[in-house]
Amino acid sequence: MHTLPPITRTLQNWLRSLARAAAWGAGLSVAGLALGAGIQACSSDSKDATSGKRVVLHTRVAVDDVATAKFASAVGWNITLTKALVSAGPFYYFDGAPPLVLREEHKGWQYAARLLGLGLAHAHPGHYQAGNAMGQMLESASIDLLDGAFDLPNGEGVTGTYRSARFTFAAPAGSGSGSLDGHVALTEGKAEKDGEPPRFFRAFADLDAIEKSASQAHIEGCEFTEVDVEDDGTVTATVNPKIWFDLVDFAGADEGSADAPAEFPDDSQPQIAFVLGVTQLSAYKFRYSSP
Amino acid sequence: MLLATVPSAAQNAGDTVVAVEEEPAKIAPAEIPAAEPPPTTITVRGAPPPRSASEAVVDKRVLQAAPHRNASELLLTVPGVFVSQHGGEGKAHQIFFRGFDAVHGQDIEIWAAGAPVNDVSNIHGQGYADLHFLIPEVVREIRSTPGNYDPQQGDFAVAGTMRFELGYAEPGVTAKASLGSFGTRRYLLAYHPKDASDATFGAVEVYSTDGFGPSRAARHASGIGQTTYDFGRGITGRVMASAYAGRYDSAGVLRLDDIESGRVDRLATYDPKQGGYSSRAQLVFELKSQDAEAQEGRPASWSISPFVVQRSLKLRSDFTGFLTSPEGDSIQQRNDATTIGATASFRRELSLFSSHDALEAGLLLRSDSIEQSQHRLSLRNDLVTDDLLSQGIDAEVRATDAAGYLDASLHPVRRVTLRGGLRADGLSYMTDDKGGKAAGQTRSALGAQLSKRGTLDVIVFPGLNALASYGEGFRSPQARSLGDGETTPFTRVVSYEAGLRFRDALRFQSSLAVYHTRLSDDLVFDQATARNELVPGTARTGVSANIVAEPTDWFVSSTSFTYTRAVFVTSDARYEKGDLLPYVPQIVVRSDLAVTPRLGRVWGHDVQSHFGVAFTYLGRRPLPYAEMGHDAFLTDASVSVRLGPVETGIEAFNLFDADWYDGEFNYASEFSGAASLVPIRHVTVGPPRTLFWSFSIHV
Repeated sequence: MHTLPPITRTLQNWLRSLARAAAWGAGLSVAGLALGAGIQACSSDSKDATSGKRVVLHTRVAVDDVATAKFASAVGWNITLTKALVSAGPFYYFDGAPPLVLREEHKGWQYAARLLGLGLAHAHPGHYQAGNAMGQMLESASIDLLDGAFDLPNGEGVTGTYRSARFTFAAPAGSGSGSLDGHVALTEGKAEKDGEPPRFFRAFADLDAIEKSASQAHIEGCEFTEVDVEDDGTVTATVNPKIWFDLVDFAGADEGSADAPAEFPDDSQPQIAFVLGVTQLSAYKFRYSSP
Repeated sequence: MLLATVPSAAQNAGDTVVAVEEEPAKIAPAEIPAAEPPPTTITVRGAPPPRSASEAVVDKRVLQAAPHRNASELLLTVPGVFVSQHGGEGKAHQIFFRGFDAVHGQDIEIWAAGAPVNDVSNIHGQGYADLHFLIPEVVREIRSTPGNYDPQQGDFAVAGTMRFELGYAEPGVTAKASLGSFGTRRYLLAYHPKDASDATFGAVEVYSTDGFGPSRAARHASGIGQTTYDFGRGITGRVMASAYAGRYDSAGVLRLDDIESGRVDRLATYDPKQGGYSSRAQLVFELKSQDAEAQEGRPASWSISPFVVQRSLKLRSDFTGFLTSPEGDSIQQRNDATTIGATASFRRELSLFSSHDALEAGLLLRSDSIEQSQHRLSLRNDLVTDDLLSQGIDAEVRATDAAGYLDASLHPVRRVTLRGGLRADGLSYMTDDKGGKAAGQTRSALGAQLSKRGTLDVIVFPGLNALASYGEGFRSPQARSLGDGETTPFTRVVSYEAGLRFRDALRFQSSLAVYHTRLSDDLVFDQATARNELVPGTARTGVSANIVAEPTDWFVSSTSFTYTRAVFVTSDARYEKGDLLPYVPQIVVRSDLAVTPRLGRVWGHDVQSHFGVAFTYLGRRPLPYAEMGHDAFLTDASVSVRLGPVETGIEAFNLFDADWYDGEFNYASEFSGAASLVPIRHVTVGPPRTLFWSFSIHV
């Protein structure tokens, strides 16, 4: 009988063991994969993903229709805008309910009382709980509100309920920023009132002035028409310049002319009231629409 | 383990326990007694009987098959485990195991040489387990006990338990120096008495690196000594002492869109002040007796093992930039803990159904004194900037765990074994809250948990066993989360597993198991708070396959495949029943291979070589909002040659220089430009290709 040399026997044994291991390995792999597939199949009642999903939020800024024609302010001036520019920064959307805000249908005396320091029993943003951030648009842009809807870069968000928003002002940047002359809100137009000569005005608000009323120039707790966002869509931020002028008493403004509108004097009632108006929650509303 | 003592002057029996029904034991060739006197001691190591089909003991050959930078990476060899190091070389690794994101240890009970590693109520995370104190060369084996089927398993054994046993077999003095990429230097000095068991050794490691990018430097030093003593009459003792200290920088996270757009380099850091310090000192005594109380001819054994552990942790991290404060969101955490405790057991054989039946009673006593704090620091001047929205924490916690168990092993019919029993845990906490709104409050809470566990083990044919296991377990809560008088609200865990184990002598082992685990509630990284928060109940269902082949003395391979599907089983406002659990990888594959041929003889010495390689694949890592993280495929390799007392080698980690992310998270941050309040992807970058050259002398 032929006797194999020791090294050959060793090699044979080794190959035999290796073959056995390979066979078991292959068997185990097949069984494991089959079991894994079985587990996956048995989980047919659950989706193969984590909760929620990301959505793309096309973002645009529009002006409230009321401001595109002559409108009446809360203190009785009829105003026609010829220019309305704003430098808006990032927008954020939350699932927290917006605070109860003063609305334009409120009487003018309420605003006046507020200006005089007479407090009104309304909830204010200090009581606002933003909750979870659901969406955002992080770019800033200089926008001509009277030039039709302005498309901003796409924002991002996640699925869920949207109920409130943050509107922010930012230093002018990008195309159109030059028209703002360094201001973050700029308007021109004519204000009329019975018994008063018309006022041709140029009203503006600067970032540092806004920050005195709104921390970091954030307008917190803006109304977002409640919606369950389930897919990509468009968020439209509507700016209502009428609210900016609701508190402005043009009696304290110079008359100016159509060619040379007058700026509000520093620390005058019109200037202070305009900046306060720019920081009003009700001047900014958001809504979502699916494509 | 099993000790067979030939009449001898036995010196070392450090880890020897009589266990009649142990799995087939391994007799190291070098330990086979000579045919002629002098008589000697044979140390035979075998694993205790498994509690589940997927239980695994990773021995030295597999541990050493491929290179490992530290002891945490040794866990990669355990079937179903993936580890990552997102916080710098010194912060505890993040551990994933069979569908659990155990973070730094919240779901895995870890013991090393008889001392608990998990920190109770650590400020950085429940169960924080830092394994950097372990020197990888002195880890003899890792025993992985998935699930909670063994009555010995206690707090944190949600996904399972890992036990590191220490030993160093190279006789004499080993001096090893390693130089590597990124200014890395490592020095190891180890000693093992020639005539002692490998359980007796001493080792010191000193390590430093500049890191593979900014803010990644690290330094640490660690020393471990262990000795055993045979008192005679079956009584043996073991003492283990170790000390460790490490200081490290951390690069922290980067926004994925910043990397992908090229705005930042993938190795950059937003906040270079991140990093930490960690230290650990511990002392473990162990006294064991075998047959010392034999009654009516029935063997009995007992053991008692007191331990004391002192841990310190300082950590500074910045996950969110300037989101919560214009001064920056850097968070400093401190946690100092002293743990004292003991384990003890008594085991006696009975004759209920067969002569091999046995009953074991055991206990665990553990008391932790913890001081912890957390404050937000200014990035500008490092001053504390706590405010109402980010309140600081200053607390002292006293935690006590008293547990006992009964564990029976019965053989009611031939080929069938029933193992299992009951475990009762009583955990109490007293918290002195000195910071934030709760300043001055002292709260205490106490709760108890009774867990039932059992395993049915049937021998299908010699070598092939079918096992079915059931277990109940728990995870304790963060002490500071408990109200005064609250009955400790444990996370309750129920596990099931069924499968096959095959063992062909000592050359081939394999297992295949299906498992299911349900948790009453769970902890998941929350993108809104950037920490783990309570979420609804969850379940994991998975399959695990493992195959270890050692067909010759010069070849070893170990390959495992684990697939787990983790879902919510109840709903809340944020998560729906059936949704995948975020951050938990579904597929983990690992393969370790080593070829160690003798190349010949030179100058009267064998030329011994070692070629090792390891492949790791991490796949399907669900992230919030229906996203999947990046898969990772990594290859590590080593080659070394030893000629007598001299050895040299090269180790390569991430051999093919794969760009990969060892951590991926979704949350809000503000690192540059406008704040992203919607959760966005943040990543920690995994190490690039890293090479080490080492030179060792064994004398």
